[in-house]
Amino acid sequence: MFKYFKEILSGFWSLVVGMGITLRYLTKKPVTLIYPKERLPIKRFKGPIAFVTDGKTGDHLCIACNACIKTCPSRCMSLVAQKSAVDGKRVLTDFKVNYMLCSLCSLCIDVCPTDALKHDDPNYDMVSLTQKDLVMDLLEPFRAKGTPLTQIPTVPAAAVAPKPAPPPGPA
Amino acid sequence: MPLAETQEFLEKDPKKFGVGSEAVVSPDRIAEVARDYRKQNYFLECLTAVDFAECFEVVYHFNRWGASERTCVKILVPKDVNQAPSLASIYKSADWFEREIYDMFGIIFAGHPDLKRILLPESAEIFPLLKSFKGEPKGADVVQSLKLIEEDARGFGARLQGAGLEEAPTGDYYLNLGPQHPSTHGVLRVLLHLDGERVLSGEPIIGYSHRHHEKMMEIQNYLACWPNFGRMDYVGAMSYNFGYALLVEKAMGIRPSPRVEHIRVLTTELNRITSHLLWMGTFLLDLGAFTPFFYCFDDREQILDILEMATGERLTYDYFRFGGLDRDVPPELVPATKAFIPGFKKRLKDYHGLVTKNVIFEKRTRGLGVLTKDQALSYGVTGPALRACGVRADLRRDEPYSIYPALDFDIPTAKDGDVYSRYLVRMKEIEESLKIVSQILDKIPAGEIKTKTPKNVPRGEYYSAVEAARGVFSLYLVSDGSLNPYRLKARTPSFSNLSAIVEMLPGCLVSDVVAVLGSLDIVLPEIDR
Amino acid sequence: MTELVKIILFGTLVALFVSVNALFLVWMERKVSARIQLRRGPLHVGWEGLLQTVADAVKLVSKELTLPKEGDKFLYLLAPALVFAPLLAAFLVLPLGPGLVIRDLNVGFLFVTSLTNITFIGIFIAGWSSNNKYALLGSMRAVAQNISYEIPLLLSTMGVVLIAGTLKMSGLVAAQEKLWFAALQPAAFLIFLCASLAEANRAPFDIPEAESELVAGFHTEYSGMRFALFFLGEYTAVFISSAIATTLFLGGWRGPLLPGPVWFLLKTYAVVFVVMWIRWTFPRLRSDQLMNFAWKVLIPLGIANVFLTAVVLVFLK
Repeated sequence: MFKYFKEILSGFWSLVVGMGITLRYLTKKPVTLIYPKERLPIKRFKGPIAFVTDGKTGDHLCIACNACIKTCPSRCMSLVAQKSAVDGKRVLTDFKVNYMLCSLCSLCIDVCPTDALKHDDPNYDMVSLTQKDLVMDLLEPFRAKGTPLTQIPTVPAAAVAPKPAPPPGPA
Repeated sequence: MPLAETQEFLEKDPKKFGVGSEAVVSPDRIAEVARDYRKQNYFLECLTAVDFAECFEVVYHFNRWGASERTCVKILVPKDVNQAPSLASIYKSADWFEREIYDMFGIIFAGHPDLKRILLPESAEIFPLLKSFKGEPKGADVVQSLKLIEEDARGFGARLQGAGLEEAPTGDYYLNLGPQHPSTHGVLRVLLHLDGERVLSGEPIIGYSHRHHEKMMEIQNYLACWPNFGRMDYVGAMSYNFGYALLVEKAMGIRPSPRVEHIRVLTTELNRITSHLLWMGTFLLDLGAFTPFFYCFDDREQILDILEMATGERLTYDYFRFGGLDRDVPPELVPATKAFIPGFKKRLKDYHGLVTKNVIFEKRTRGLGVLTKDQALSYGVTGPALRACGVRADLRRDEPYSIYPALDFDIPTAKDGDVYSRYLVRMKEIEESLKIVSQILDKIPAGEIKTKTPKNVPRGEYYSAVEAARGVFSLYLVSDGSLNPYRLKARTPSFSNLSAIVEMLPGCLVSDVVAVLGSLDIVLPEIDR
Repeated sequence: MTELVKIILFGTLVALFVSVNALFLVWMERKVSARIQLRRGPLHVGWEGLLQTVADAVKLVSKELTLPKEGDKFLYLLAPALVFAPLLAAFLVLPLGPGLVIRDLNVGFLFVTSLTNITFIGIFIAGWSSNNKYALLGSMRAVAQNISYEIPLLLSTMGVVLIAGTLKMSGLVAAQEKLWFAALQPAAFLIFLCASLAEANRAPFDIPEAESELVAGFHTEYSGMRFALFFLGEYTAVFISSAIATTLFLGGWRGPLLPGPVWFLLKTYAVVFVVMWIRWTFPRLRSDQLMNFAWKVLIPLGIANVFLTAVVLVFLK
């Protein structure tokens, strides 16, 4: 009999304690932010892959070595390099990243010999209504600025057949 | 190791290969060997197969609780025989492992009680892990889906016929809990045989989020495998990173710098806390308590902010690299973590007041879903679910890796093996992980975060295991010296833990089913891989 | 003739009040739960999201009404009305202020409890006619729960009725002129609160619709406005339970300074707040534990309470 009442009372007390805790939280300030209006400072964020801009020349650093493309686990990158009409060297003419496939693993950044790639950190709110927008042309901003590397004349594509991107790793 | 077998066993360096000894026995003797191991309280940690050009190799890894003593036993199955004896009567965990091998390689296990596909749909006609299988991706296949639907109906009908229900209607019936159900934590289907609300038996059906990481990893190079590990157990991805890093470092024979080791342990333990917090929130949600879920998420988000500072990611971490890390942690990370700890300790007290001591919670969870030590051994249960049975087993202590031996932390255990014990063990583990984090914070040494790595993994077989948030996560690698892994088997803890639910469900009510399911802390993408 | 006008007038007023009140209660529930959970709740539609529930109602009205293929169509359509209509009728006897009661029946309190019981038949019909295993499980639980909790609910009020000597709602309020029954009968008040939570299917006794187990329980198959009727019904049931608690235990409309109806509503909303507060604090009970709690704790305590009250009353006379 005594045990019966004790159990009821201790049970009841545990419920009161619980309600005390929730009441305390009721008076606290909410922790949520109203996102687009309020936001936290971003310390580090893996945004979509982008080209590093060289401080001196204002140009990209890509040498079209295909290292990133060989490593990419999601096979989301493709590049086209053509022969320069001036000195016959390889010139990057197209670099696309399919952001829909990208798994943001940073491996392409790791393997890049010239550190030409980075995560576009401030690009936090990227949103798109079409799939087309998510296939990013990394050369686009450089072409718009008309940086020297994008101005090099190349041998027409028909003369040098562009190599298709090889599958990652040896088959 | 069993004495009778001593002469056949080959000693190996566990530091290098992850196993202490290895043997090849003939297929007809494997049952005898396994029975011997079972008697000496070894559990079947991992069971897999490798497809070599000449024959199949079925690989058994036995281990025991407490200080690790892993042994590897292999049998060779010629391709024209394609049959191996089943261990399902000796180790219950072999049931699912063998079904998986059958599913992936088509090897028949003689004497298996119910040999059918486990991860792929039952109507599948492929054996994807065969080297001869080169997958051609296909679009949505209407014929195939129709076949699936028909097959499901047929299988179900057969079951009903078997139970003799068609002749004499009784009070029992079947209920599909899932694959779309709020409390199955992903896409799991539990086929419940019910009498009113009372469960007569339950059978988990998995494979709905199967993506075939293992084949994926076979066709890409070692480096490109990293993202796969962030996506198996996305709740506690850091431990999976750790497992893969250890495996390849072991194989390549490199050691990361002390700074790397410290940061790895720091982030892994923080990630373990987030994993347990997420579990706690969703588990209580299953029990009908909403509010703790939000408190857990508040804390979890704060830790994720800290981890984001280091990794740039919040969930599917790809942070570790061979012999190093993706990038160094910023200097703000240490003060941010220090600022977080006192508030979190206060919050833990609130959890105890709100949940642990709550009479409803106690009544709902005590004495429910009891798992005995013997069952845990037979099913190969690991992690908090095992420690709740009173077994002091934690690879961080039993098979020390990284800087864990130098750290001061306890392995919490409970004795009842019920849902409440599992809850208590995880709550204490949060505190222990917090202890580890606060120990490391002040002692992160300076140093390089990248090491030079050899290009290839040398030929051989390697095994590595870590204590992930849900139990033992281990990797078995067969390397042929090329750029790609020849075979990489991931033994995920929830796979074995979930299979043990068959023992816990009978006698429960429907309300208890979700509580038991929740208490196991399953993450379906990790089970289905 | 005047009687007919009166009926139409009161009917419209009650229907209006019920829908506005339910929308307000939903908003209140969201806000209370949000603040307990360190969130903000609805914010964007109207002041502090006050019109959010109106927007939701508009959305629900515009949704497609589905019919389960194998269900019992007639019963399926009948169930929401059966759940909702008795709750409207219960407003007949609620005393909002001195003289402000539509019909002050002699058996007012009995009338309310018997009406609210009809809703359970509606719930059972809903579960049965949906032809869904989850819905059937939910409705089975609902019936078991209702039968068990009817007894402690009535037992707890017996003490009050013994002291007041009437079942009339206005008489019960009048008897609390000096002291609230909550102070005279604290145990009965707690038992009543528990039992009425269970009667209204509120957490921690919300097992008929336990969403983590039974998806949505008895209303799994309902959509659009039919679902909204169940939803409105739940909140109206909470309001009625709280209103009865106010009348029986908290002195009804009595209070200083402010007029009667204001006090009545204030007290009722305070009880509603406690109900919400309880919901957002505790886990759910299991069905067998729910029965245990009723038969082994609430009913013995209720009987003891009635007995003690009767003995004390005899001695006082």
